[in-house]
Amino acid sequence: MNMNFGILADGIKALFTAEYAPMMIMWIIGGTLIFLAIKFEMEPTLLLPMGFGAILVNLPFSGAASTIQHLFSIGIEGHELFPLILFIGIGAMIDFEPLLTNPKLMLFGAAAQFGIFFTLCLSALVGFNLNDAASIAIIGAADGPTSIFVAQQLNSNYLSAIMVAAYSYMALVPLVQPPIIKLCTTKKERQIKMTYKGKKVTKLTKILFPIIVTIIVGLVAPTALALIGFLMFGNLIRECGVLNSLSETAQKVLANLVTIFLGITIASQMTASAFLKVETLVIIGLGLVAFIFDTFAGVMLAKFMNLFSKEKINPMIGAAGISAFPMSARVVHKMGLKEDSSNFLLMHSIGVNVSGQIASVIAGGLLLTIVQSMI
Amino acid sequence: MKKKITLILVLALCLVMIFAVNVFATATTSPSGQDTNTPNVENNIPNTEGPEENNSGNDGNNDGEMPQMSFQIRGESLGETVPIMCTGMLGIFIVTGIIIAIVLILNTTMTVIDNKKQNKENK
Repeated sequence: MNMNFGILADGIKALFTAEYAPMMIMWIIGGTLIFLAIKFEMEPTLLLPMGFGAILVNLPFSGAASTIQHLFSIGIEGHELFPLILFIGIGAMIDFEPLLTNPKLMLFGAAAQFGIFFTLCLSALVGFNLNDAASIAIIGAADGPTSIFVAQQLNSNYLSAIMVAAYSYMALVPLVQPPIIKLCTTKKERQIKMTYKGKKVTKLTKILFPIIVTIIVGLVAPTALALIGFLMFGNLIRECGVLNSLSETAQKVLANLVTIFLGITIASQMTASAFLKVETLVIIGLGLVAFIFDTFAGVMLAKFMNLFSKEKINPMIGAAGISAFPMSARVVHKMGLKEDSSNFLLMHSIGVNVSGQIASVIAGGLLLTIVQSMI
Repeated sequence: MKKKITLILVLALCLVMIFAVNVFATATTSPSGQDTNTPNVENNIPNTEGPEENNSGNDGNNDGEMPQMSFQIRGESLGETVPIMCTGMLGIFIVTGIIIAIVLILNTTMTVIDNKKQNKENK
């Protein structure tokens, strides 16, 4: 009994020492993440488990930390299982039809990866090693699983900060993108109406698409084959038409289950001693730069294409080329409606958004291939 | 509204108190900076070594501790990263271009096949 009181007293006493102040800062950070998730519904599926996990691992003598660390070692550190399995669910959720009806939308997805490479240069310029710089840059993929996969493959020292930044910015897309889009476009450009020509896409095309993309990306960037392969496998389950129950399971049960574990597992890396560093702030700042330049490049490509095309493109849809699916598409659609209540950009922006999903994996794969050959 | 303000004030007061106690605790620790009664922060994560140890297959850089780094502008790094940027962006556009071309071919082929089927049915 005395011993129990001793432990309790130690724990309470510990809270009021300067040594534990960083832990309390982590509680505030965790609380903020939970607040953002509940109050503003910002990516609640991830921010809430991350926030709670951050508190969990930052309690004195936390017994939960070892359990979560074990989850981390088997789910992420091992063979990036959680992000890869999540990709099956994401693949099953994605409908590539808007992209297949207008394949040139893929160009925006490609352009919107510029932020990744720009941030790579910037990160290396401020002093990060090449593998760390590449891992930080991939935050610009706006795709949590890809960020984790690349950072883990490159053995980055900043995995925790990268994971937190990647997921936080995905949640903050509605706050980050609109001001940049407005800054790059005029009101007249934002009001450009685009008609959606819903061409019929055959079932065979929908089935062949994931297989072809897997083969092409696998040949160009074999290191990222697991990522694109799992994504396209999920999509194939969806489109084949004979595995409806599997498709539904992947979309709902599997994706939700992995998301629960992923969120709380990421938190295992949010210990005060590892997280409260100047480097974390710099990484979060660089992540923002990546998002800004992704958005900028997508919008600029649309403006550039408008110089030559007869049918004008609303440059805002270029911003949906960052992967963050489907938030980015929704943001663009809402902005379009704000400018003109009869301007429906959703189908176009969704097309660009899913192309961004593929392009971000390609970018991650290329970055991995190039950087691994150099280090 | 009043309730919210009160809640914020109470929270702020708690924080101020906690930090005041922290400052006091720091001042009363031994000259070496180590309070002998205080448990070590590093101990909040129990030993995770076990049978699952090192099943990652990598070098294990991710031990939860970031290395201390000094930030300095390294202009020479651009010589390394700018070519990566150019190659990467070019690579993405090439791969995207190939995918677009294949999708266009697929769409056209399927439309032709569909039209032929419909013509046959019509006949």
